[in-house]
Parts: sequence; C-alpha cells; structure tokens
Amino acid sequence: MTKTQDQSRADDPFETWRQLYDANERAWTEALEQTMSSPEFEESSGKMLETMLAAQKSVRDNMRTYLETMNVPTREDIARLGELVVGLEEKIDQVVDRLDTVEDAIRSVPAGATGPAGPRGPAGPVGRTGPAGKTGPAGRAGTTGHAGKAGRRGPAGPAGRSSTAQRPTSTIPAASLKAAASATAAKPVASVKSVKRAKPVAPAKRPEGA
Amino acid sequence: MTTTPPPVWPDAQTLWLSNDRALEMAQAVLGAADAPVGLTPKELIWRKNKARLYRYIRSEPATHQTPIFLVLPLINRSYILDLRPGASFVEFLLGQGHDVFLIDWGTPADEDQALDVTALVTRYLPRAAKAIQRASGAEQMTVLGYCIGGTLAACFAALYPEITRNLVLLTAPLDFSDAGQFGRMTARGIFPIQQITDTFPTVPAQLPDIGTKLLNPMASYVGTYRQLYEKLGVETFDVRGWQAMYRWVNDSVPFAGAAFHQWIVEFYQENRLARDELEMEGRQVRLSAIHCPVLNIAASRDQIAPRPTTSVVTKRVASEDASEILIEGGHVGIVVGRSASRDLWPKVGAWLDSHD
Repeated sequence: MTKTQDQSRADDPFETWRQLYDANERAWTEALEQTMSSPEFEESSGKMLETMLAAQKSVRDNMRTYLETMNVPTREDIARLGELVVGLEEKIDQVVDRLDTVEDAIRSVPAGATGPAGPRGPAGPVGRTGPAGKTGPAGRAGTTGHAGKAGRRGPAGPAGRSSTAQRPTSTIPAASLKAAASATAAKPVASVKSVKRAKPVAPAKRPEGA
Repeated sequence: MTTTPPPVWPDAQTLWLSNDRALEMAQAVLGAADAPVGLTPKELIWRKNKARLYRYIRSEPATHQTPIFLVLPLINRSYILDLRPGASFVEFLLGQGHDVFLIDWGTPADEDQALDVTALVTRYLPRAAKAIQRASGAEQMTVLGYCIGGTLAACFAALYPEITRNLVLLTAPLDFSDAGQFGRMTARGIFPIQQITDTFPTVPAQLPDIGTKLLNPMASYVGTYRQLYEKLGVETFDVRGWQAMYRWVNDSVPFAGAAFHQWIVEFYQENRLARDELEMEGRQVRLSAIHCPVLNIAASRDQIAPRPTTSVVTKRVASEDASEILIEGGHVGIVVGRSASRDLWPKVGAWLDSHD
C-alpha cells in the first residue's frame, strides 16, 4: 500500500516543525512583542548589556596590560597609528579644498580683467617650486608687474629658505591668480580627466570594504 | 485488555526526501556568505579613509542631465541597492538613462573612533559631491539616501542646497519622537550609550544587528528558515536570490564609536534634527532649509524606521514640491523585494524623469 502525499508530508520531521511554527508563530510573536515592549524588559536588557560591557572592558583592559608588559603593540597603539594616517589624509584634503577655492576664484575672474598680465602666467609655476625660485626666471618674473608677484610665491615653497614676508597672501592680484591658475591647471589635484581615467573596478564578489 | 499499537516509523523514502531538504537548506545557508552580489560594473572615482565613491559604468552616455548620488546606511553593506542582476535598483536607474554614483562607507576600524556623523556629512559627502561634479560635469545632483543614509542625505541637503537639485529619501527616519521599539530600547537611562562607546572604539556590528532582529525575533531567527524550507520545494525557487538577501541581512558593518554616540544621543534620544536643534560644524541643520524638490518613500510595515519617523519630512521641508509614496511592505522588502521592481522603482523613475 502506497502512502498518499499528505501522509508522506506528515512523516517528514521538518514538516512537523513547520506546522508547529505556523500554528504558534503569531502567538509567540505577540508574546515576545508584549514582553519586549514592557518597561521591565527594557530595564533588564539595559542592565544585562551593562554587565556584558563591564566584562568586555575588563577583558580588554587586562589584555592591554598584558601586551604592554610583554612589550607588544596593543590594539590601541595600532589604532593610534591609523589615526595619524587618517588625520594626515584630512589635512591633505583641506589643502586640496583650499586649492579648489583658489582655482574657483581664478576662474571667476573675467578673462578681460587680467589683460596683458596673461602672458606672464608661466612665471607662476616657476616661482612656486622652491629651487627654481632662486634662479633667474623667477627673478625676472618678480620684476615684471603683476606676474612678478606670482613669481614671488616661489620661495614660499621651501619656506625654510626664504622669509615669511614673501609668502603669498589672500590679496594676490587677479593677474597673479591667473598665473597661479596656469600653475595649478598644469597639475590638477583631481581633474575631470584624471578622474575619468581611473581604473574601472572589476565586478567583485565582495564589494570594497566588505 | 488493550494492546499498545506498534510505533509507526516514517518510511525510508520520506526520510531520504526530508534528509535531502535538510541538506539543501544547509547548503543554501552555508553558501550564502559567498553569494555573488553588487555585480554591476563600477569605477572608483574618489576615496577618503574607508569611504569609496563609485560611478557605475554605462555603455552609452546618460540621457539625463542630473546625476544621482546614492547615500547608503552606515551599518549595512552598500550592495543592497545593487543586490544582483534583475534585483538591482542601480541597474534599473542605469537602464533609465541616469548617471549613478554611490558612496560606500566601508568598514570603520578602531582608528575611526572619533569619526562622527557630523564629519560624514560635512567632510565626506561634500567632497564626494565635488568628485561627482567633476566626473559628470553637472553642478547639481539628485541625492538619494536609504535608511540612515537618508538622514545623512537630508542633513546634507539642508547644509548644501546649492549642490542638491533633488532629495529622495528611502525609508529615512527623521523624527525620533516616536521611534517605536528602537526608540524605547535606546532611551536615555536605559541604553548605556556612554559605556558602550567607552568600551568599544567601534561598536561591533552584532549590537545594532541584534537590536534590529529583536524587532521581530520570530521572523528573524526562525521565519527565515521556515520560508527557505517551504521554497526549496518549489521548482522555480531562486536559491541564489535568497542567498544574496540572506548574506546582506547578516553582513552588517561596525559603527564608528563617535558616530554611534551621536546617532543615539542627538538623533534618537534628543531628536535634534526634527526639533531644529542639530548643529554640524557650527551650522544649524534645519529641515526647513531644504527648498529643493523632495520625494519621500516610506514603507507601511517598517519596524526599523516606523511611519512616525518618516512621515514628518513633507510637512517640515520648505520645498513647494514635496511628495510622498507609501509602499505596502517592510523596510528592506520595498527596496529589493519582488514587488520593488513592480511597485517602487517605476514610480521613482517617473519622479526622477520629471525632475531632471
């Protein structure tokens, strides 16, 4: 005699589990919801969490003391190094932001406003690089009107070799900004072009950071 | 005198079938960690610390002018919006002709202990937005945030209106005055937030994960497997799809200590955003400072971001064009569930078309 499909399902241990779950799921869910929304549960779970945290902190503190005694870098030591790197990256980002601001200011200057100072632009990059600042071209730039001021920005690069009085200020004439623009444009921080050239990421099994 | 009937044992065939089903279940669960996800090709265009900004590669130029900037939650992996082919919101947007960018927050480590929500909104998002401007050539973009990412997106839109052309919020909690079970669990005096962040430089992923699963423990811890058992008997059942979702649900990310502290204290406990008391880098973050078109998408049965937390936005923003779509479903289901491509995505697509 062959069993019917229903009988076969009834014999399946998983089927019994499924029926048990289906029959009780709603009641269990309601009971759990009621329990968990009670102030007593919330207070109790808070205390449990506090106890677990205290235990965890104790383990961490003991481990740190042990590693310090053994002259082995602790997790905190490594994190501190990481913090330095992250902090450095933030500082670089701030510099890039400032460069962007300068570039934006330069771009906002009408082309006609710079007039003849335009051709003097190349003096900018020469001036910006420290060693070049000591050479003739930078000096020549310094003697020619607006563009000369851009030239004086050069020594500011290797600050140790020049006086701080020569550092650029926020009141750089528009023409000098134009010169600086050509300098920054020559080596953009993150231009559209360079961004687009970024290597495509191959479809990964796990995404970045996963 | 009565005789006890002999025990009836299941026949061998039934036992073997049951055994096969059990093995299939085990294989499905154990293999989920390697389920292929986030397959849409993308390129890295900007990075900072652990954060990565990706641009999804298009075979043809975008037909829409406004790029879309996807801001993902801090505690989940970013592939939720690009789960797998056929179940990918990103794929849908690309198909609609959009230029799509996504910020993946990565996995914070102990060195990110001091990284807070303010830093993410004022130092990460604006720089990522700048990278999008450069890559796309567009000055403004549609900022689309999901869950916590939506809260960050709203803060960003309030602080940087010149960049935000449109704001789309996907189950984003903004008003925490009635935040449901989560709100009660994290209430002041009950939730030891200071002790947690003192103990953990980065809050382990399991903590928020358990909190989320406790919102519906039966469904989370048992119902998932019961559903799998049921579906494994269906010939058309897509095991890979189930595995992708299972992987995402169990693949949470640690929360940077300061960000977790700020999230719990300033958002959940003090509800500063909805009360216009939130400050970031000395600037007030006011929902009323959002003037761009806003689309708020909420889920009717959302336990993570319950309706009271999501319903406030259209009333509080200053936008003349603020609308809401209420979808029947839960927090995750409306985004990647089977009904997502039928109910949600076309509506979002139509809204984006009319706000390009």
